[in-house]
Amino acid sequence: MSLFRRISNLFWRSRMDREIDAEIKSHLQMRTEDNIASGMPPDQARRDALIRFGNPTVTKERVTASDAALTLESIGMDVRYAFRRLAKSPGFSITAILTLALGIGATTAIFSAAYALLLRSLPFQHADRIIGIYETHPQVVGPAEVNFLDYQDWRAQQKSFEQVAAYSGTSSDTMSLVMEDHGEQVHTVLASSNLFSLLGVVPILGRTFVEQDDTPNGNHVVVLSAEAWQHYFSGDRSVLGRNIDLNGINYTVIGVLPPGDAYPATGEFWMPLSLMDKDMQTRRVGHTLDVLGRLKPGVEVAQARTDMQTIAARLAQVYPATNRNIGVLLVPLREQLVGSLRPAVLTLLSCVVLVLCIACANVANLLLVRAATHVREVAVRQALGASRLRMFTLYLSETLILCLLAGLLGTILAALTLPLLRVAFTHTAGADPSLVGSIQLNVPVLLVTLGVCLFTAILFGLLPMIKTPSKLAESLRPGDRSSTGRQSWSRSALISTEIAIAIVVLFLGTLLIRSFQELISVDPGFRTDHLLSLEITLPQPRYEDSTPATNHFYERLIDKLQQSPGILSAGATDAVPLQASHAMTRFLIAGAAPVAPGALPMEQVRSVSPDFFHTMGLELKQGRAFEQKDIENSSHFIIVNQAFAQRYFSGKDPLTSSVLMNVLSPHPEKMPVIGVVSNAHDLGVETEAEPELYFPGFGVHAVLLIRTNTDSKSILPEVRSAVRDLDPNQPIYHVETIDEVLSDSLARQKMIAVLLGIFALLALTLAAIGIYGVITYSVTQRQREIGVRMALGATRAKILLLILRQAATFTGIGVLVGLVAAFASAHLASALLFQTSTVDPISICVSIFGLMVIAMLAAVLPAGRAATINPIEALRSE
Amino acid sequence: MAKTDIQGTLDLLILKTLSQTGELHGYGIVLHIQTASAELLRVEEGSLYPALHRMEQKGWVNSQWALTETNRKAKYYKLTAVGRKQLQEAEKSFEQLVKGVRAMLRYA
Repeated sequence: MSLFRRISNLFWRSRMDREIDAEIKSHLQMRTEDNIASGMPPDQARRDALIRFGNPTVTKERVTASDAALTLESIGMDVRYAFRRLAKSPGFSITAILTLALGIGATTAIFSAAYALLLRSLPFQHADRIIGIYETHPQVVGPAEVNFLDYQDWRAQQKSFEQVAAYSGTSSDTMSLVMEDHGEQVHTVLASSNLFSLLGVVPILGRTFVEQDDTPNGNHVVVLSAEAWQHYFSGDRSVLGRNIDLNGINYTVIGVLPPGDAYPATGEFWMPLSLMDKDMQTRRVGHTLDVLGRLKPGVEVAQARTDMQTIAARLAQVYPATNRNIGVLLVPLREQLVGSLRPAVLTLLSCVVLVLCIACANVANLLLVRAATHVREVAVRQALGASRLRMFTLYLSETLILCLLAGLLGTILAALTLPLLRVAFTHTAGADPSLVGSIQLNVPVLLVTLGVCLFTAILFGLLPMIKTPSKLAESLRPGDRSSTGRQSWSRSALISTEIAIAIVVLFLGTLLIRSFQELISVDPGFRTDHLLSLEITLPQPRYEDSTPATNHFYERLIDKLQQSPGILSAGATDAVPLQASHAMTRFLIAGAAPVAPGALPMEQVRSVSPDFFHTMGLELKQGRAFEQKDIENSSHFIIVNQAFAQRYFSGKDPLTSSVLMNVLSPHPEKMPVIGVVSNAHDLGVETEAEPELYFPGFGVHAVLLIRTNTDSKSILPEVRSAVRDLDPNQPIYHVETIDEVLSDSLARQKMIAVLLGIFALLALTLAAIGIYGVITYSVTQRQREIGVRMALGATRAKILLLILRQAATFTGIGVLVGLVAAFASAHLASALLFQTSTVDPISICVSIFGLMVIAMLAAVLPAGRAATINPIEALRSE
Repeated sequence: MAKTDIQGTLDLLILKTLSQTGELHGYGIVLHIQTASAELLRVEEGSLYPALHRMEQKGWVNSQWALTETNRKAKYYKLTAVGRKQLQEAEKSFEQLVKGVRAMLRYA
């Protein structure tokens, strides 16, 4: 019955309205009649009845409000009304929605990256307890890989970890997979048998390693990554148990890993660690292992660190020759996967939130202006009995509609930009590909976006409420100006804040762009254009490092290439230029005072072919380059670069000096220096040109460098045919131009500079829109004042100046406050800067002038309009 | 003269009025409360109607339009069985309240 009435009430709202009206009317009439009967004059009788009753409209609202269903319907009415109001001022609505959508879209996109990289739990069991364990050495920048014997000792002596596992995999570890009709170069990783159980990785097919697999007799087994399984075996399930030929040796496939998240994701063929070079397993020189440990529950990282440092100190005492300077570094897995991206992502996130703040300030300003123009309407509504709550519902539904539409549009914008963002992060050194793949609009990200929308909506909904005048009579008085003074003050404060935030974003953006400029203006020491790099690994045991067969293969290949018309010269080395390599060697300068074994100097070392320097374009400063006979005779000559000569032969003639190599073995070799070449930033342009040692020779793995006189990739067919002529089964891989290598190595800085540049432009645009809006409104408000001034003789130029001065005041304050904030926040970005000071004067000037110019441009238009006001019309209106 | 707008109390006053008079319109309820309380209580007239509407929703009272003695159309409210039970409960809880308040006052 009651439900039926409620539903019928919904349908018969108007009938119910009439009924309540009638009831109230009859009440008032009865009171009036009684009043007249008791002797009041009719006018007073009616007035007394009304006063006793209170506001009839409010009563009516309260009667309907007592019905839940009807309350819902009144909210629905408010929403519909809000829609109509917004549609009636499309200029306001579109500006507000677009502004907010830009802010929300950018924030959503960057937050989804931050969420994927910094917040989302990693796809491994107990991921928070997995720690990377590295060695450190004073002469090696950053964490260094671990020696096999050190790893064994750590494993035996540590007390903090449930398990310690190791794998060995640089990107150049490959083997030749011999298929029925062709060969493929596959990427191999050696892993200790417990690596997968430590990570909690369960195979999708077969099994992973058990301890017996990691013994010298049973270790010819392979676990495939899901990608390798698809690529080389087309996902054939019968691959389990199959014998495959790698470098001429038979291995049995025992399992397939799950796709994507297997870590490290770049491994294709996983093999037991005991397959490692015997020499590496028995000596304390050579550091090639990545070590992971899973902490025992309840053990803190700091505790584990102390534990490991004790072991390192013990090893340094027992093996001073090799371990004296070797320390231990513990890096939690997340940090290891995200690498150096954390400060970048945090800076981007901060800036994008600042841009969102500017967008919000803009919309707040628009809403304030709107509220100010509607003061009288609001007063009338209140006089007619609208409760404050009802007014709030109306404002709130208006801002909710704005914010939700903006949120929707922003999410679409974010969805459109995410693929670009993923590409940007993929090209960025530092982030694991599996993490980059998880940058997407998922539930937590969308929830945060929704939260931002609702928060801004409620904030904005409250804003006009504060502005609602408490004294009705005042706001109803015609031509009233009493409230504009305070309001214009709060608007100026808002716009100053907006400008201050814009300065911060602009300054950070300019700093990063300047830093990127510095970076690309670094001369790498050689010409990077028209230079192609590709890699070859010859199958063992047919070829071994520096054997005649190997030398012969590469010499003939280089000869063939150099005869080709598009190729100027070709050379070989063992690492791609501009990519960090950890090939370092200990040595001693012949004749120098002997040093303790642990204090031996250590520098970068590369083996190169005779034409390497010529191909790279490194200049021979002294002596001669290597010749073919140096390689054939395996003569013990070396060439050093200028940085090396400066550091180690200060003053002496390098060509009369020799270097002692293999110093830790019983028979050190004395190698005379035959040449000095110019420096190259071989480790990337970010690092200084390091001292380097060059040997003559070819290894089974070689990086071919080819200088061309045409587009360097166009000569690839000739290279392939040259290789095929020598060995039809020999694959080539990692083909890229050095320009690509260079741009990849700068990808992270480029991405940050570009994104921050975009945010800075966004901030500037939004600030300009804000300034334009405030000045425009102020001019309409001051129309009469301007009219009076003109009537009293002010020239148009004076009026123009008057308005511009107003703009200059709040811009000036904003800029000053902004600069202080910018300096304070610049240290946030200092980790991202390359040879750029956090108080870089050019960035400061660019930010100040950029904003001043934009502010003046935004103010000139409305100021010009003010100057052309017709004083007679201005005074007549009102 | 005490002004009362405590919701429960207003409900009680309305229910009691209707139980004493049988059938009455809103204005009549206001007058009855005033006279029956010897001018001690005065109901805010506007707030009567939301309360009446709410009580009708809950089924405590029902209403119908009829003519007054002065031949004016007015909406007459009447207590239902549910309303009668509600009145008993409201009276009981009000007694408790009064007892409690009085005890507090004496204690002080």
